[in-house]
Amino acid sequence: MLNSFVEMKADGSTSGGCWIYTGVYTDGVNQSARRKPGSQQSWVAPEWGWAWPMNRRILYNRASADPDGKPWSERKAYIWWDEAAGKWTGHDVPDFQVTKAPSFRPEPGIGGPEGLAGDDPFIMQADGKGWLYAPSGLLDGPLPVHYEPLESPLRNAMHTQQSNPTREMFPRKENLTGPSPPEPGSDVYPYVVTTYRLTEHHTAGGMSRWSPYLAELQPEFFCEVSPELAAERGLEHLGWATIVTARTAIEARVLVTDRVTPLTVDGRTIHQIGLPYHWGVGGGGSIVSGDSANDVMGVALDPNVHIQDSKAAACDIQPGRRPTGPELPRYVEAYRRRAGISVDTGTARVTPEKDGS
Amino acid sequence: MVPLATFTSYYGRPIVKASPWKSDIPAYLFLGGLAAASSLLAAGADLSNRPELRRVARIGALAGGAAGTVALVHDLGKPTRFLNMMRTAKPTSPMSIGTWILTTFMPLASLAGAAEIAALLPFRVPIAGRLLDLGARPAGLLAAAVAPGLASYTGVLLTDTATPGWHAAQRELPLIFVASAAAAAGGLGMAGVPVGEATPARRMAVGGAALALVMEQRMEGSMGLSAKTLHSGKAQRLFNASRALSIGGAVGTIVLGSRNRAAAAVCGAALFVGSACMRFAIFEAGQASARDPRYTVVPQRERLRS
Amino acid sequence: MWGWSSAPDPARDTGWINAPARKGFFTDGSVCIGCKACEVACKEWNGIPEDGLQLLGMSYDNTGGLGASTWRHVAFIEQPRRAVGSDGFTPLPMVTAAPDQNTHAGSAETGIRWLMSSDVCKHCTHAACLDVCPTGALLRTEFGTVVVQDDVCNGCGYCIPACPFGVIDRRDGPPGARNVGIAQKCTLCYDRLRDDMTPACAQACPTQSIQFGDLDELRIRAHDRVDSLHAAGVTDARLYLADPNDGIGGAGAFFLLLDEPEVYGLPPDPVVTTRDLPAMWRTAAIAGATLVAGAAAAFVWTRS
Repeated sequence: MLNSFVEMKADGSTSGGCWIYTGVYTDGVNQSARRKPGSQQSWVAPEWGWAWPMNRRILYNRASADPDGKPWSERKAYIWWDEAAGKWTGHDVPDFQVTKAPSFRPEPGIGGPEGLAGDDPFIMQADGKGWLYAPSGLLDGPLPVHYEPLESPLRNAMHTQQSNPTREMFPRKENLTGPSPPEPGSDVYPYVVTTYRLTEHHTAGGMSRWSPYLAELQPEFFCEVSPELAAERGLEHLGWATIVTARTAIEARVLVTDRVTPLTVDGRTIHQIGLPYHWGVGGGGSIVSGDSANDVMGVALDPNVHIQDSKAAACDIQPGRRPTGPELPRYVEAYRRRAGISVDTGTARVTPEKDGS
Repeated sequence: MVPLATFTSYYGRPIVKASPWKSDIPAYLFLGGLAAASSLLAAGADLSNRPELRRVARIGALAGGAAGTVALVHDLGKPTRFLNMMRTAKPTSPMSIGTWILTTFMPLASLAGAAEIAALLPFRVPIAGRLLDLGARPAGLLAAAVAPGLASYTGVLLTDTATPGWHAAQRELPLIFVASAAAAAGGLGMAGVPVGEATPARRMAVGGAALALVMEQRMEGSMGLSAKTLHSGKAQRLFNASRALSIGGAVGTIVLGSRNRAAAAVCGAALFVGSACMRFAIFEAGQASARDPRYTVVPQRERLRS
Repeated sequence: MWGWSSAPDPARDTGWINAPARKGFFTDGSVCIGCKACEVACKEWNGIPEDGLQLLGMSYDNTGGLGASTWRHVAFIEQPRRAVGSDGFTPLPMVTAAPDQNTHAGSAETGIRWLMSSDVCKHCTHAACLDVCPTGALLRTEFGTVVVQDDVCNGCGYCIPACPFGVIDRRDGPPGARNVGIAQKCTLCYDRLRDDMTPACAQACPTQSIQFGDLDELRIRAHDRVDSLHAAGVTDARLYLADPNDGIGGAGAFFLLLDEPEVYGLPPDPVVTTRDLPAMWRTAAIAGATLVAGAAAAFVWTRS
């Protein structure tokens, strides 16, 4: 077992799996099984478990010290330059060439890690700097900016542009988008729905819903709502609720919990609905089943890494079970008509300067 | 004692578990008590030369004991393993002690009871019949010697649990159970024997019913908060029925029991059923006290505060 | 019958010679994250059947409580919207970085804390289930734990109402499962202990909320833990069943709780029922004598 990936040789005399995990068996000891109590070591607790790479707990930690290598704040001292020893030291494993002094300046024209100065903490970047202005690499740069999710009950408070104009869209009748301000009709889907995982299940449940010991721990698809939303919509704890978005409607048992809190934004109360996404219908032999949270989410991708936004959508929630069979599309369609949704709506990239609402 | 205005629990779920016992167990509590007190009545009748009372009481002891044993075995999760009760004798286990008491009692009561049944047959059973005649008296007397244990241990069986309503009744329950057993056996004697010979049965029935009623009153005080379980739901209906039947049966016995055979039979039946209702009432009350965490938490909190 | 002693050693008191140190669990509710790995590991190792697919609506607890087919149970308690710092409510410190900068899991916005703790058989020093068992199916092991012998239990069910914690139960299904009809509960992984292994739940616990070891050492560790929590401002941390002088003689499996025991579904002052048994037998003797006296009285001064 190698103690570090820097021991890897190109001549075939060493072998390694995923390089970041090299060192988890340093000295033949399962480092990730270490459980030294926090009271017996520094507050960073390097001997509790193990973190990749090289048991480093915070990446780019050179940035915790000022350009001269001194902690920005004594209270938050993390790693620093030890002038006497001529190396970086501190509570964590330095994420920096250990002997490169803060004052080091490379010869001009040298590229790669050797070309980085002693005050360039972001060693994976070509210039060693943290970028606020990203002149290359991003399709929607160069400066960070806030956009509302594609479906939002709120107007973008920062500027005119409502949602990301560079998003990748797939407009078709199975993937409609609900209206957001300034377009009219967003009050038809007044709530925010989000999805998340439970400890007891794995992804969409394709494995865990077939395992009796996991299925019994979280046996049914549920939605989590605040007591305030439950009162507003007449939802009963452990009763049924129907959650409807521009895509479709699903049903879930209701868990009323104080863990979900209404948000106050711009003077308005915004209710959130939480859906764990581990259920689905069908699948021979599954022990538990239920509607799938993914069914109500739409597909629009971010342009850089092509990840869909499945964490925020606009919805309505009503007590009781959803319609079935041909009644279900009729039920969903009635919502769409009221909101004025078609394949063409929600596809404008640039929000008009003048609010239409 | 003023119960706490509020108490906390884990979503209202029970803390202790109610026993898994179904009606077999309260039925056994009644039948075992009936058998025990009947065997005492039979022994008295035997010694005082009351053959009719002796016959009814011995058969009552046999039938009650046999039916109770069947109920006990039927209640087991693994009835085929009922003999495992014989692996050991444990003074810390009222059920173990009770098993040995019942195991001692049953052959004796059966022999005495069988002799009475054999005597009723239209023909003489050869050899065995003779042996039964010889053995009936010693067997019946020995059964009567074991009977107080049989009638009273069932009280400990219930109170030696974490079931709040039962455990809190520990000073009264064995007395209530023997009194109730006497009422049932006396009632059976009254129903089955002409009034002239049934005087001891009437005394036993009235005395038992009276003692049971008095001790039940005291028990409610001991039970504290959990006494509420005697006054709601199924337990309440059974408890009220038990008291009405016991009081009515006892008063009726005093007034009419020595004069009218039919009236004596009705009063005896009332005391008999009243005794059974009482066992079921106490059983159900205990089960209810286990199902509601209030009866576990509040008295323990009071104890910690005092 | 057992007697009360200040330092009971249940294995030796039962007659084990050369018994190893008494083993137990210290379950520290202050670091439980509610992952339920203990529940799953327990069922996997012990081959316990699935026992219920109902959504219970008790926060994320769909297990409900201990039973014949649930030997570890993680409680989830949501304590909502009380003012932070009000009586009996300490938000949990997540990091004790520098002593002056505790951050709290209980959000200031919602004032919620989410208590979790894994319940298990207590392996009492004075175990009512073992005392009342009429067949001897329940036995005290050399490790001081209490175990049901599956092939001896006849399912009489007496241990169930005897347990002051409602732990043990009779397995009622599913049909075809092992040991249906007999009493079942945690064995503290008796089979693993005999091979010098850690019980499955403690092995699986990712935060060392479930600690297994020699009971004496666990008690010292637990008291240290409470002291450090108190020093960190978690004033409602308290040990439960760690005292050998309590009503069950102390438990082999004890707990660190952050609220009253009943909040977690545990009795606040459990007492082994058999502590009162000598008095109960005396009452029964009086009752038996009363019956004999009454029966005799029924026959005196009567004409036959």
